[in-house]
Amino acid sequence: MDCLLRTSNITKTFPGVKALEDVSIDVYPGEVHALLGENGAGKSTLMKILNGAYQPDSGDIYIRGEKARIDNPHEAQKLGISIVYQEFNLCDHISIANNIFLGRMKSNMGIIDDKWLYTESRKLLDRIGLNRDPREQVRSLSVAEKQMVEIAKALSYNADVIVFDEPTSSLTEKEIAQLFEIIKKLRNAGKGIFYISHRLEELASIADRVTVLRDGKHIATYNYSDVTIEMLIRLMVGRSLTDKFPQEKRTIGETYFTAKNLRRKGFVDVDGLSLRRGEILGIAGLVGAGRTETMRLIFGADKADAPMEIRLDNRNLAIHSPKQAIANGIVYLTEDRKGNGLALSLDVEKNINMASHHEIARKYVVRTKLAQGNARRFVDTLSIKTPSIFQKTQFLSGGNQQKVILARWLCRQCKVLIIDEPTRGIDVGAKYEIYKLMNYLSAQGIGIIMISSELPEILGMSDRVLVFCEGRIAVELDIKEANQEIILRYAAGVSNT
Amino acid sequence: MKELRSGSVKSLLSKISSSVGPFLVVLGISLFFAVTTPSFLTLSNFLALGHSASLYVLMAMGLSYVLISGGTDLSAGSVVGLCGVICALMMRNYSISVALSVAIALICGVVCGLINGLLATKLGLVPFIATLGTQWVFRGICNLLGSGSAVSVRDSANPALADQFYQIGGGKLFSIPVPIYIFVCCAILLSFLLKKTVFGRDLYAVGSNSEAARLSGIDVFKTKLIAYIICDTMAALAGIVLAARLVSGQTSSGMSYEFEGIFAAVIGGVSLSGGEGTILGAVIGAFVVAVLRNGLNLNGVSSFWQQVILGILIIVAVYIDARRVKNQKAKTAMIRK
Repeated sequence: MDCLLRTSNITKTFPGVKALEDVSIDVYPGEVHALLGENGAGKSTLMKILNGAYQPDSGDIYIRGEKARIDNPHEAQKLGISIVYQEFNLCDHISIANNIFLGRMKSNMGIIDDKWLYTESRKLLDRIGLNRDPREQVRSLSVAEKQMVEIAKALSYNADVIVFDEPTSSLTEKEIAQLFEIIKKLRNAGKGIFYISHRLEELASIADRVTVLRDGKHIATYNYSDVTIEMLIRLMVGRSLTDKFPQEKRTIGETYFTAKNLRRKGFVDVDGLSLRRGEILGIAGLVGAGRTETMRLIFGADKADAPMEIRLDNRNLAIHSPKQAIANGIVYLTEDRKGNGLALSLDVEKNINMASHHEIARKYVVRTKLAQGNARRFVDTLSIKTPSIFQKTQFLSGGNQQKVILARWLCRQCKVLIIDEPTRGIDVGAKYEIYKLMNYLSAQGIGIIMISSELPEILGMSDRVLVFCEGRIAVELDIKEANQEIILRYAAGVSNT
Repeated sequence: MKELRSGSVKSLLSKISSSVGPFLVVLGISLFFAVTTPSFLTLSNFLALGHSASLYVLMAMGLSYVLISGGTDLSAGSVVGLCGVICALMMRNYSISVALSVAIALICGVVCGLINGLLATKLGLVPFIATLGTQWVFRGICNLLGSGSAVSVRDSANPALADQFYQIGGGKLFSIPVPIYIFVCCAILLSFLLKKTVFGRDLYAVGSNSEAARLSGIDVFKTKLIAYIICDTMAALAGIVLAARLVSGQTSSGMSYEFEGIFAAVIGGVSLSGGEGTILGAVIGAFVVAVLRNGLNLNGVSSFWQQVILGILIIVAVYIDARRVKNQKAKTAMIRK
């Protein structure tokens, strides 16, 4: 069978960084080729070269055996290469059909042929099994459905090669299964698929071949059946991680924190939850189950419909704002690092001290040395990789950004730490460090509430698990009785066994 | 520790270049005027320059606070007129002492800032629109108070007031104009407030990402409100200085000053999207505006052409600001690779 697409010895350099060095990969019709690598390994650069967004410094691209030149994304589409991005490029306020055929509408003297538009869109949506009216606005769709529209868009170009860039990072387990069905369908239709991902577990169900990149170099390509997850991790990080989750025996103390009567109409309807000293409480559930919203209530970030009863260390707390929560030692690490976590245009030092402005000041005057010393201490202890504490945080990698926010809360000497999706979008090595930090904190007697959509993370880190479903706690499980199946069943609301 | 120990002169230079670096074009134009005009490089012209720059400096510094907080204030120019007229009115109609009149005018500035701040925060209006509205409201009140013409302090029952008042805007101390002392003091104060205090830190955090700031326990509402109050108080001060120089409150004074102030701030490296900028930059930006105005005047360019030229330069400056944001994004993408 002929190779659909092949790159040969691609090299791409940016000032100061060799993003890709001699990378050769290929994809055949009817196969899923997984591309793995830590953040910064060169996956995205490679993809952008296939997309025509970047030009390689040297090396060639062959499409069906013929040497090709991809000058821009438009050219890539004409050559039959489509990319489904991690962050969608959809216009929220226009219809599904219009999004799919944006800029390529069939028209008669400038008047759009609506009939053609909607029948063609319908056909595409049927092919991937999205049961939505193509006239609907995109903004009413769920994340998973938006992604399906992106896939439909890719198919509408009659692409032979489809690249998926971390397609599952914001999907729930159920939606992932659905996505994999579509990918398999595409594969069986003879498309060649590049699949970029962080999540090693999910590859087993779809990958035919796997290539590992590290520091811009091509490390290895295997048939998926010949590798194990441990092997892949080793190849990705270049060192052996004994385990993905650091195993440490935790000593769990008495219950010291309870939150009762958490209500917010349409989002949260929780009677109560409790936390013990030194415990990691995992919060599992599907996206939209009200996990984040519950924690935001406790933190005072949203207004509760009814008075909450929050007790910490045998004291009743009145929490109406994040300021009050923080003052009482309850802190919340957001899931949306860039949206409401970091001040991206400010430097590392300012971000680390952002929740401690009064602590680093004497009578409203900031003690610069104290502030900088504070920042340096956390840059060292958390090994945040940054040229200096005066680097703007927008230039840091995801893992280091996460550590900066963590540092912000660690300097507050918190009693209750709520972490929402602690390792979303960060690479394997950094994940392990974040886990170790969490273990270290729990050893100090801090109770940690961890929201996570990654079941292995929930199972690997928690002492106890609360499964959320439709704004309520569906079940509380001790870690010994929890497994993926049970959690998923309760999360999906089918608990009658 | 290295970055702490570097020489202060060197760090000052690098600070200046990092804040105004992108605007070398504009600086170049200013220098062009400086060199082509024989009377430019004279001491008297420099003092005149500092004198006329003082108003821009006051405006630019105040506006920097609002811009850093992520907002904008288009009513600042009207506040200049309003507070100048109020100050002059106090002295003309009631023969109130200079100090008290100035204090009352400053309080009016505070009230204006309070109104703008409340509209932009509590009512959640887009600052651009809210302050466009108050721009008209304040100017209207100003015209009502002054009956649409000048309020001359020389008409006061106590003529000695006029001479005292003039000292604020036109007087000299050790042969340096008083307004220069005023803006230098304000610059030092505001720079300290921005860089060294809890409020300054709050302001940068709010401007860079207000939701992140709120979740970090910062009172976003209070912080923004104070920024608007500072801005309009500075505008009031500019109005007082301007009125003092003319010994009368002109109902039309301060028109378009907000644009010159924003222009100066942007040239000085204050970001229109918030969270970035320094007082030093704003001062430099204000001087660039003053040099431009001064050079254009000395070259005999008509005030109509000055409008055209400044308008074009504002567009250029904003374009450069937008490009800078874009470049940073590209740089980010590159470093991440």
